[in-house]
Amino acid sequence: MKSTISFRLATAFSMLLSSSMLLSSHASFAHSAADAEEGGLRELVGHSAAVAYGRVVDIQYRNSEPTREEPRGVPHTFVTYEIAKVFRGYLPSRITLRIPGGADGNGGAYSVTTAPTFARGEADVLFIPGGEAGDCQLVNCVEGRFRVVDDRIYSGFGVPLFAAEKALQFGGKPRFDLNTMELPRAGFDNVIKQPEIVRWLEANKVDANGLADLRKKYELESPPFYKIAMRTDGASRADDYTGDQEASVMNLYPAPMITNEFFALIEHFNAELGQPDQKVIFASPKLAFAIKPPETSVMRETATLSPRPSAEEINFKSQPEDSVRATTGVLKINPLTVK
Amino acid sequence: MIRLNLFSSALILLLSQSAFSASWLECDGDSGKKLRWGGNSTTARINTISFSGSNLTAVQRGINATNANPSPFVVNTVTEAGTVGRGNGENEIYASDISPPGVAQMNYHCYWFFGWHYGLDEVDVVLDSSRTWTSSTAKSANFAYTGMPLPIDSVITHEVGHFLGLMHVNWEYNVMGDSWRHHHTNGTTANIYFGEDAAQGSRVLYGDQSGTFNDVGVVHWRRTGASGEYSSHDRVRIRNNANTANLTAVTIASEPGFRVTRGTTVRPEFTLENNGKTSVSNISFGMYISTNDFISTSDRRIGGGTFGSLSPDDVHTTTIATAIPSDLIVGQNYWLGIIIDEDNSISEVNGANNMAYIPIRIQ
Repeated sequence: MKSTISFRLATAFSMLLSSSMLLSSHASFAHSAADAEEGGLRELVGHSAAVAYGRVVDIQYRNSEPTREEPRGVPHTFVTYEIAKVFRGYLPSRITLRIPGGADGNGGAYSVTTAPTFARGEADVLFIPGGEAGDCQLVNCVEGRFRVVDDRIYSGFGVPLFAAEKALQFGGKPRFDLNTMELPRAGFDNVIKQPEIVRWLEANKVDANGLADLRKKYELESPPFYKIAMRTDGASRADDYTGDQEASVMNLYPAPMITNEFFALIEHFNAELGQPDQKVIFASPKLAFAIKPPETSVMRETATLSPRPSAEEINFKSQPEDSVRATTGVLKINPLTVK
Repeated sequence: MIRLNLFSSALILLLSQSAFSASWLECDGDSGKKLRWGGNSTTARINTISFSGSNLTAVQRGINATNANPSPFVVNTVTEAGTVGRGNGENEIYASDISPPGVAQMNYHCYWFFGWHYGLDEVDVVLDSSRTWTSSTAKSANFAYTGMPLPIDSVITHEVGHFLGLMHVNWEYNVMGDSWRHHHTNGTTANIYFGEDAAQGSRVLYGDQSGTFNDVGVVHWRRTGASGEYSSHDRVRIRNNANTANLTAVTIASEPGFRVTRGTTVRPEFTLENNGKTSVSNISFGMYISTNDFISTSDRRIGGGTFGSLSPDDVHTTTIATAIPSDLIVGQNYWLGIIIDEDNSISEVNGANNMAYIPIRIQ
C-alpha cells in the first residue's frame, strides 16, 4: 500500500519564521530545576533527543509488514516536517517521523486514541525520542506534539496550554478543528476492492469496458485529498432550569501561552539539561517495517474486602427496583455468549 | 428549606450559557457524514486469556453501562480465547502491557466513489495489564474513593464509548473525559455509568430508541476543569448561603466532607443529569440528613422542592439552598443527601441513581 501527499513549503513560511520565531526570548526564569514538576515540560525536554519547531509539508501512509495476526499490516503515518528551529539535538532541515495510524490506501483508516493525526500546513513543536522509531516517534506519542496556531500553543489534541514553567497545564475551550487526518484519495484499483463497491459493481454487471470508463471518471471527479475531522454538537438544545444558577466554575483558564514564551521555556530547560545522549534515527517510508503484533496478557486484580453495608442499605437494595421506581425503558443488557 | 423563586429562575434561564456536547469523527468534514456503525449493533469479543471470573464480569458490567443509553445502538458480547490483531474485522477487548491505562484502536472507512462512503469498521480496546485493577464496585476498592486499585468497569465504559464512535470530551462532566470519577454512589457501592453527555452523543450518532427511555440521576461529582483532552472531575462542594465561598473542608470516613453549622442555611452542590431522550419537567426532590452514607427515604427529610426542567443534552451542576436543622449534634458526622424524582412521578429505566450524598460534620 502506498499513498502520498506532496506539498512544497511556501516561501512565506520560511520568511515568517526567520523574522518572528527566531526572535524567541532568552529571558531568565525565577524557577529552578527543583521547581519543575514530574511530567512537566522540563521532563519532556529531558526525554527528548531532539526538540524542534516545523511545519507539515508531506504525509505518506504505509502499512507495516503483514503478520499472521495482522495479515494486512497496520497503517502508519510518515509525516515530514520542514524544520524552522531546533531547540535541542541536531536535526536536518527536513525530518520524517513514523506515527501509528493513518490511511490504509483502500479508503480505510486506522487511528489510536493516544496518537496524533496530521494535515499539511500544520505547525508544531515536536519532542522526539532518541534511537530508532518505536511504536510512535514522539515522546509519549500525542503528548510530544504541541500545536502552534495564531501564535498560541495547544496540546496535540487542540487543548490550550496556559502554563508550562512547572507543570504542563492545559485547559479552556479546545480547538476541535485541529484534530484532522488528511488523506489522499485511494487508487482506483484499491477502492474497487471495498466490499460495498464490489457489491455495487456486481449488482450493476460492470464489465471491463465499464470499469475503464469508471476509472477515467473516478480520476477526473474524485477529490484528490479530503479530511476526517473531529466535531462536536456545539450547543445544547435547551437550557436546564432548576431554580438556581449553574454552579460556579471552579477552574478558570487564562489565554493559551504565546509561542515565544513556550520557545523560551524549552530553551531554558534545554540549557539546564545539557545536550542529549542519543541521536534520532529517522524512519523512511521507502523501507519496509515490522510492527510487533499485540500480545494478550492476564489481567490480575488486587484482592479487596467487601464492605458491610448498613441495614438500611441492605433493606433498600433488597426491594425490587420497580417497587422503588417504575422501569419501562429498554435497557440493552445482553447475556454473555461463551463460544 | 428550598424556595423556588420564579423571577430569579427566569432570569437565570436567560443568562445561562449553552455548552458543548459530545464529540465524534466526520468524513470529509461534513456533519452529514458522521463515522458510526452502519447498523444499530456490533459485537465485542472479550478475550478470556485476559479476562476471566470476576474480571470478565467487570468488563461485561462496563459494556452494559455503555449500553444503558437512549439510542438504539447496542454492543453485544462474546468471549474468545484466541489471538488478537488490528484490522482483522473483529472488535476485541483484551489486556496487554501498554503505557496508558486503556486505549481504543479504531478502524473506519471514508472514501469517495461516485458518492461518499463512510462508517466504523472495527474498534479494539486494550487495557494495561501492568497496573493494579479491581473488578469490584465497592467504593472501598476504588481509588477514586477510599481504595487503591483502578476499577476495570470504569475504563471499559469509557473505551466502549469509542465503540459507538464517540471521542474525548473535556468541556463537560462526562464519561469520555475522566471516567475514573464518574460514578453513581450511594452507600457502599460506586457504579460507573454512561451519563448525559455521552447519552446525547449516542443519540446524535444513532437517533433515539423507539421505546420510552427516561432516566434522571444525581451524583456527588462535578467537572472542575480539563486535563488535556479529558474533563477533570472532583467531588462537589458545600457553599455558604451567599454562594461566595466553600465551607471548611474536613475528611469524614476517608471521604471529602465539610464542616456545617447547625441552624444555618448552606448550599450543597449536586450534579443533575437527564440521561434520557426527552426533557423532563417538574422533577421533585428532597434533601435528607442521614447518619450513614446511604441515602434513602427512611432518612430524615429536611427540605425539598421541584426542579423546573432538565434537557437531555447539558449536564447541570447547581447549588441547592438547604437549611440545616438546629437539633443536630455538634461534633457528629452526618451525610447530607438528595433524592430526585422523590415522588416517583417519572417512569425511569434506573431508579437506583437518584440519590447522592456529601459527608458533613456539625459545628
